[in-house]
Amino acid sequence: MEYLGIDVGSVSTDFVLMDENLNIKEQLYLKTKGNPIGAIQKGMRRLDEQKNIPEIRGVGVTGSGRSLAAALVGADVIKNEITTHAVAAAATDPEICTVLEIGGQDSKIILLRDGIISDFAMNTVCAAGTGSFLDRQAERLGLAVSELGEYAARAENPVRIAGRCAVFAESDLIHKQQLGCSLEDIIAGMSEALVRNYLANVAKGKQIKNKICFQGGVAANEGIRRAFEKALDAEVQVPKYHKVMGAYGAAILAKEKMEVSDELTAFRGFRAGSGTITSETFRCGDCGNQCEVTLLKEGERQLGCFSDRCGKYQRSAALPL
Amino acid sequence: MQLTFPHLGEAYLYARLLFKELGVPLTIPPLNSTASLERGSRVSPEEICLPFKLMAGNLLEAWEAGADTVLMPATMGPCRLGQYGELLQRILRKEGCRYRWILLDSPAAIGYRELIRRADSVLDGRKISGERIFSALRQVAILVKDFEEVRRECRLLCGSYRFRGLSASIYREAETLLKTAGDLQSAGAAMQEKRREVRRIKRSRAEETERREEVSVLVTGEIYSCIEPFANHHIADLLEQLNVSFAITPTIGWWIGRTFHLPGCGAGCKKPPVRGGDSFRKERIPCEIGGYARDTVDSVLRAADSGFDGVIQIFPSGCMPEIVAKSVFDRTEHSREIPVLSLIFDEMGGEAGYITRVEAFADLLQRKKRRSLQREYTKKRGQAWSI
Repeated sequence: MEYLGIDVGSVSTDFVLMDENLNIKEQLYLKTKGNPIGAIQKGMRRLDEQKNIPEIRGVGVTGSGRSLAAALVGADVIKNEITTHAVAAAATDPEICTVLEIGGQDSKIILLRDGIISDFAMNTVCAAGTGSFLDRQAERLGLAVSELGEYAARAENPVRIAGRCAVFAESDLIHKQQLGCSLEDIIAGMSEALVRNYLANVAKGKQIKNKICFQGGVAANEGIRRAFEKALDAEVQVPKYHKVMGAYGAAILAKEKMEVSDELTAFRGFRAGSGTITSETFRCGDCGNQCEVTLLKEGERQLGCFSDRCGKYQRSAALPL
Repeated sequence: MQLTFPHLGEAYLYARLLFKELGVPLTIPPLNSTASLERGSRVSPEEICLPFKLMAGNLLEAWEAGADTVLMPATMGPCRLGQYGELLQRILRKEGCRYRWILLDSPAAIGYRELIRRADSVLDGRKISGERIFSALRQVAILVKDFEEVRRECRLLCGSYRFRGLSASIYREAETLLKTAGDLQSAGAAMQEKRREVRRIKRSRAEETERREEVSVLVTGEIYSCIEPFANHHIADLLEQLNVSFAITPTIGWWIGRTFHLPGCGAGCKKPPVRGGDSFRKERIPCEIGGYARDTVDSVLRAADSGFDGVIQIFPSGCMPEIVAKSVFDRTEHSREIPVLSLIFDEMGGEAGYITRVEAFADLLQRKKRRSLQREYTKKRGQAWSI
């Protein structure tokens, strides 16, 4: 009996298979590359190729593409990524009081007291200081994102970069680079700018207490972790499965739910949704709402439907097999 | 003359009934949609806020539908909003919409005499007795007050397992009634009936002592974003789906009462005195800074005492008064122990980000409540109790 957690984020799509004692049996970290449907299908195929396919007792989905994932594979729990990240952090270490999470398109801070969320904040309208900014800068400098940490570690004298806005930061980076600053110093400066921006915007007015845990895709970057330690003057730990914490939290919530309910899982199997999926977006003109409706189809069969305010198209969706 | 006005939530429903009563021909612009937003933002200054773009879109569409006169409550203030009317006038003239403009500024700014003169031009020379006008305005004021009472009570029942179905259907009925009523009298009478129904539910709920896991949220912030559902991505529907009881302030009734000092129209939230809040507020925002920043700070400070578990502040990107208000209560969160979530809206059509934030906020409040109930129960029974 195992539980499956799927986190469909803007940059990565993660899968976790977890046993009944909350141990992670299998984890997958795939790049979404702007195609969440493809990423989900690929992940499901990989899991299906394993030798001993476990029996799935429950499925939890999270991330910004959670409703898409739920339509495709069938889910028992559809939860936002803030709750799942907090649940996962509390499960790995109940003493954690602060969760710093930086993902592809958003960054958040979650405050935990006695293992439950007491407050949280998320970046507002702009994606400055998130993973996609780092991705872009790494690409511009011709480096892999994974190399950024090493470079930052070698810096002797980090330069000061304006971190408030990704556009300002980029022009500042270019100017410093053209002045002849070393790549190492620039990358370390960029890490510090990102952390400064995070603490000034997202974590503004929040009490950061020990223990602090840092997770999300960007946590793999050692330079950022060190910049956090320097700015907060406290130890910042990165959990072992930091990349898939969202998916892990979703699996835990699925377990919590399925243990007290006598329902069968809504999971449609590893091969479900493996056919050609087409999506169709149109503006419905039947009333003043003028919703932009998205229909998800496998062949002729409608799998799911999003963004119709009145629910008209959702009701016409075929029942899952 | 063909009168029109920019949309503001359900205001068009009241306007339809009022001008029908007075016999003034009216063109209601199509409801706010992504299409009208697109048109509005094409002609608007780049840095302007969402309400302006929506209003510009409304007026462009109304011109095409044949309107030639704009009625606009402008409420002159130090905020950009005070210049909305003037800026809109210029932009629309450039776009070839040769409207006649009637700007209704607040009596505090232009005096009652000037206000009445301007309002009189709405009648376009029609001879209507003052008594009839006064009676129509009075009926509208009562209709607004009654509808808002029905809506307020229904929204506060969204979290109740027992009553939320009933309250939702009463609210839908009240809304349909407002949309389909033939005239002001029948709308008023039917709305009073709905109000009675809601009060009956309220009484039977007062007898109910079990309110275990219910959480309630106060939504406050910039006035246009609070009143117009399109500008806040239908946050009311979202909270209803999440089974959270909630109240939204400011409302149209609140605005009417505040601007025209009408007795009995201050239909907003109940206002208990703020514990040490008044001096606190004066200390933090010593003068009016425009918009309704001080009122936002006020309602956040009162929220905990009014029985709310959390506050959601909403405002359009670039709204200065609300940004100041936000930084004021960022500091008060710890002392008042009430979580505040700030949501900022602009042209973005994707709703996933907002749903995530609001859903996580509701989760936070629900889990917190469950935990405190658990503690209470354990203390009472002296034994562990698991959920």
